[in-house]
Amino acid sequence: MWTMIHEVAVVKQIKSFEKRWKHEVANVLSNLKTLHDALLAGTKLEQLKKLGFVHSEPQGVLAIDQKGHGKGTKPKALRLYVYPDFALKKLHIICLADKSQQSRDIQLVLKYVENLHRRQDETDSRESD
Amino acid sequence: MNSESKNISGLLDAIGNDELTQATNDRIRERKIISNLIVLRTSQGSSQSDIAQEMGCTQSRVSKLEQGVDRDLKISDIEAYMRCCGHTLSANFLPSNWTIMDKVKHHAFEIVRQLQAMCELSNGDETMEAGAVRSHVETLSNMVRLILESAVAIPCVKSEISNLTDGTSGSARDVPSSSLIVSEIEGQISEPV
Repeated sequence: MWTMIHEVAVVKQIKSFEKRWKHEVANVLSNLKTLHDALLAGTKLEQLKKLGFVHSEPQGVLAIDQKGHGKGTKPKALRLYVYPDFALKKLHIICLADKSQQSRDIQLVLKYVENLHRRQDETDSRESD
Repeated sequence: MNSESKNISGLLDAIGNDELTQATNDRIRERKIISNLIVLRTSQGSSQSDIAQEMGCTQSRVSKLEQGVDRDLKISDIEAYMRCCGHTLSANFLPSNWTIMDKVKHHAFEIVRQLQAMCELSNGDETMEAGAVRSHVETLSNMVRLILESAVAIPCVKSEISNLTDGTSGSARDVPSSSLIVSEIEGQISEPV
């Protein structure tokens, strides 16, 4: 059973973007549900990249966009960065951002994933001791 | 500090914004069929281009279809898309006032109808009859197990099971386990064969 893990920071980011871009945020969250359903159906990482609203980033990170039926003529481009941990079946919801500082956001997300791996390695080595 | 949730509802609860929850749930509801189609396609490793090739249309048409809402879908599009994914379309026309129990009964009768179809198909063929018996036993065994697993979510059943596990219940010996029930039923069904 795949569960979702979210940081307090991402909840704050969603609340912040929701004030001006509610329909886009709703689309992102609806797409997040579809991605979660795909994981529950046993979809692998390479297959997830074939979801029309998913962009592949390094280290297995996926960026979910706001594509989908919406109101307004020019939707705001958003990215919800997630990391599916296939070993523990946990979907980490890391960060919601627009594209204004995309490369910086991606670096922060990659740092999160590195820290996650480091913590897991530490836990594994403690358990083996 | 992070939190864990089983699904999108848990995340929406954490956000705690009724308007966003409403908008998201509306979006999920209006794209329920499309979302299922997308999950079906990706779980098979097919791309939009693969589906487009099979459907005889362009990739951008499939992309547009996947970005739309259910009410804009044509039945012929759903059929074609599903066919490309190796599935067929099956529709249920259920009364809107049906309760959950009505739906449970509906599915139970459907299981019986399928088993009866299997019996008719196997009539007169020893190998197929043996297979049909095995299928009946397997279905029964799985149904008992699944129903008991579901019942565990009911608090009084959960506490009864936990009493049985602890060995603190005086009636523990009187309550047969699910595996015992299943093995007894299996034995009774298998005997005549």
